[in-house]
Amino acid sequence: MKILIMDDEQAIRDALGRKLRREGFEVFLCAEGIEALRTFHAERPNLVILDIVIPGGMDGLTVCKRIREVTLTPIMMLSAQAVTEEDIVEGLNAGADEYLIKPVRLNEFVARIQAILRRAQVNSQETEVNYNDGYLSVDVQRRQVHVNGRQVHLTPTEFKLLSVLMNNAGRVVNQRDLLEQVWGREYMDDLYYPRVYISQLRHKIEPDAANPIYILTEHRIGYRFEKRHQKV
Amino acid sequence: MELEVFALVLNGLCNVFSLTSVLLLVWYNWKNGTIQIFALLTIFVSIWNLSALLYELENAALFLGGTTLIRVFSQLGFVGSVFALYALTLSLVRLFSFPLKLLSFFSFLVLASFQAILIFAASSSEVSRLPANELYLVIGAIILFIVIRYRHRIDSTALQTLIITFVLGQSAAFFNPRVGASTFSLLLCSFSAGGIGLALLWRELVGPLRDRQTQILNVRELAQSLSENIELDNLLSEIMIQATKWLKADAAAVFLKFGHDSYRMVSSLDLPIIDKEFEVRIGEGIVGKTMQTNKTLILEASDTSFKQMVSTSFPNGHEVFGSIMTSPLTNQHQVIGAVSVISNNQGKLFSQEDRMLLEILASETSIGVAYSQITNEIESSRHNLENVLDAIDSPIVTVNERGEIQYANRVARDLASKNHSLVPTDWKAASVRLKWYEQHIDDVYYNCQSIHLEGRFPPEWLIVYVDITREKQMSALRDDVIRLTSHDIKNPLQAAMANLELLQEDLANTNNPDIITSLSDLNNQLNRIERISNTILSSGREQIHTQCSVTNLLTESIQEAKTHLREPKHILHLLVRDKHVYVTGSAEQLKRAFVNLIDNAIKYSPSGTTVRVVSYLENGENIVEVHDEGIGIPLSIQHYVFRPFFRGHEYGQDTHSAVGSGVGLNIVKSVIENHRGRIWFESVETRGSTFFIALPVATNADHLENIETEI
Repeated sequence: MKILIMDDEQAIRDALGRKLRREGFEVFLCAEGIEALRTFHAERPNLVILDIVIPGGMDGLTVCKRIREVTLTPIMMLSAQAVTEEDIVEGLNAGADEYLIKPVRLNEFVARIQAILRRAQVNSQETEVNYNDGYLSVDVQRRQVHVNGRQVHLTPTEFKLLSVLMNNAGRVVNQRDLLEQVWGREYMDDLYYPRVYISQLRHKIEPDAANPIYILTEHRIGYRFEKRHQKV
Repeated sequence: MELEVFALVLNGLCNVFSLTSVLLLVWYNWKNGTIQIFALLTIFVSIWNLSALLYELENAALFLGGTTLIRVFSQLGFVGSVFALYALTLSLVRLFSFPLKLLSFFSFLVLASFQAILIFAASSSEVSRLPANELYLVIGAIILFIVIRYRHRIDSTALQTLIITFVLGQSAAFFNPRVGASTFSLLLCSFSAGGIGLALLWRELVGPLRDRQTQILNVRELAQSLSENIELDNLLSEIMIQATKWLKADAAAVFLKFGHDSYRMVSSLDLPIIDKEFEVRIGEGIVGKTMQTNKTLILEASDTSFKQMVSTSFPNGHEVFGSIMTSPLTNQHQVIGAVSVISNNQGKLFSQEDRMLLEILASETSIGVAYSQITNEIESSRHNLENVLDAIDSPIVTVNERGEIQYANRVARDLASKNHSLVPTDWKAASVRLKWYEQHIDDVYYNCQSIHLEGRFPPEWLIVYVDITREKQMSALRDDVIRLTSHDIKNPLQAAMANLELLQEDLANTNNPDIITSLSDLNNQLNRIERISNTILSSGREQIHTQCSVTNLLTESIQEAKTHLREPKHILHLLVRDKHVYVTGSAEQLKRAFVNLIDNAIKYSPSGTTVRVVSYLENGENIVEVHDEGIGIPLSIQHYVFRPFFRGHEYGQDTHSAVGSGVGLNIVKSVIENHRGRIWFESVETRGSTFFIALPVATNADHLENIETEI
């Protein structure tokens, strides 16, 4: 497993890298955005870890967006600067799968990395039935989603979220179940994750994200996927 | 003979008429001196008449009582009526000075005894009458003189004429008693007496009744004009015009209290101008006396104290005044001034009727003056208030229920003239819910507080705008600083922590106790730095929107504080008296504040003591007390406790026992105040401290767990 770490602080880079190597990962360390993109294209890592603020260089959010433009590789944000929930949401909206606030304990860091990788892995092994109503079509094996005939790109987390909801189509999945099934047990208290990802998913697959017809909100409980039988 | 009988009958009729008048008058008001004297006059005239009747009866041989009795009656009636008339005249012009009374009494006594001696000593009436004739004429002349001299004082021409007729009638008796002049004289006198009776009836009974309607109209007119004249000067002129009109007086004046114990003439009508600054002490002069006694006073030129009393209030007034009447002006049982009406030394004298009229006028005047003073005071304080409000640089407005501006100060008017909307449509809801709301007008941020103005109908609210632009800028700046600082702290912290953990893994199998202690201390210290930076960060956030259970907050705070203890040497005790209380705000920040206080309590108190946390409701606020049995806060530094970066000296050697976040009470205070709460403390050195936090209780009953809603 290859992991790319981008952080301008050498001490952090080195320490995190050392820990991940001990855990058996192949680690690439970068200090700056351009270098990180270059390394990403050269090495095609399984996971990218980005610091948000890089003084004088390309910042983490931009790197994240650039990577998202071409691949669905899981991305973890690691920031010292998040002050409010809005900062976190901004990071997630840029396409990150995970947002950790410094300082993070190494054990938790490793656990989260494993959870992300597990999510990406499990996704590719799922064997649920495909879905097609003429407007939205989901090919689980090929991890391809088409909306109104056009292919849309979902991140591993988005795809996982959609497939969990589709597996439970017609039933309400509450927030904690959703967190556990999509993100893992470590995330039980991060209630804003579903909210952010549901919103992103809606923008990608719903005809009108403001008035969803597929992913419906059950107020104060959770979310429900509704199958459509004819073309919308 | 027939003439005699005719005269007798006529006399009798006149007499009956005057007796009837007397009866009516006495029945109406027997206490009145003039009426008493008139009654006396009537009695004497009746006696005189009786003598004439007896004389006629004797002539007709129907009465054999003897001439002496007739003569006694005749003389008594004649002499008595002369003096009675004299007394009546004095009474009418009110020249009732003591020497005059004494003089008339003695002359009556001398004359009566002289007559009596004559009657019993000699039988010839012609001889006996003569010596007294001159005296009668003199008295008659005096009466005539008084009537003419003081004719203004008898405000009835009929009375004047009738008195003169009476005197002339009596004098006629001396001209030729043998040709029936005596009969003529008696007839004239009886007629005059009857006339006087009628005139008095008119004056005392009919006149006032007839004038009542006019007076009522006058009062109404006065009340009307008082309500129209708010300007004090106009009001007083109007009152004085009315007073002179009602009371047929020659002049009037109004005095008002100045300062604590003196009065000044503030307005006058038809009086020689007096220096406006002329000030007299209350109690001095007739006006001062009126104000002191709160009673209407009447003085006439004949009164002994007249000169002194009048000249004190009116310099040189006694030279021209004939009579003066003064009534106090009162407001709420306090004398505020006096009104005087004056007649000149040729003018009328004031009656009881006049006194009543002046008192009515005075009470109307009091109301008018008080109203005018209040109105002026309100006007001037309003003016002052508006000046003050205009001088304030922040907008201030009052609004009605619909949010329409009723008053705006200068700044608010300027803003309104630039078409800025000063009152948002939902101001009332906002102010009821939060007591304040924020508004952005013309690039300035205002904190608006609305206050309900008590006792206004229709209801009004005062809205005060406080410019918080600077605070907002400072707060934004602070957020930026915190952001950067926390970044600068957290990166090295991350590096240090990660390295420490790697070191701990590397040295997992070591047995060296020094290494273990060092690693553990390093870990603790790094954790402490992390807590400090978290506290600073959370105090910089401004997200207050959830409802937090006080019980949960405190339980979690105690739990967290316990984890900061290396070994539980302190007893932590929590008592929540009022459960299920919720406060609105950020649970994270509030917890941070409570943990801080508990950490401090632990830090500044010796091992083994108790830190007690108590929570209860009081006046709609939830109070949390954090009490310790520690070293307390010395009086000398109590003042600085809430200042930024203040640190007390930690307790003795126990510094290791607690590693509080140590960011200081300043941040705790700002967190609490961000939540619209208050924080204070009580502390006794060496005995311990108690910190109090009061937070407004959330009114909304929606206590359900806050589940995330849609973006």
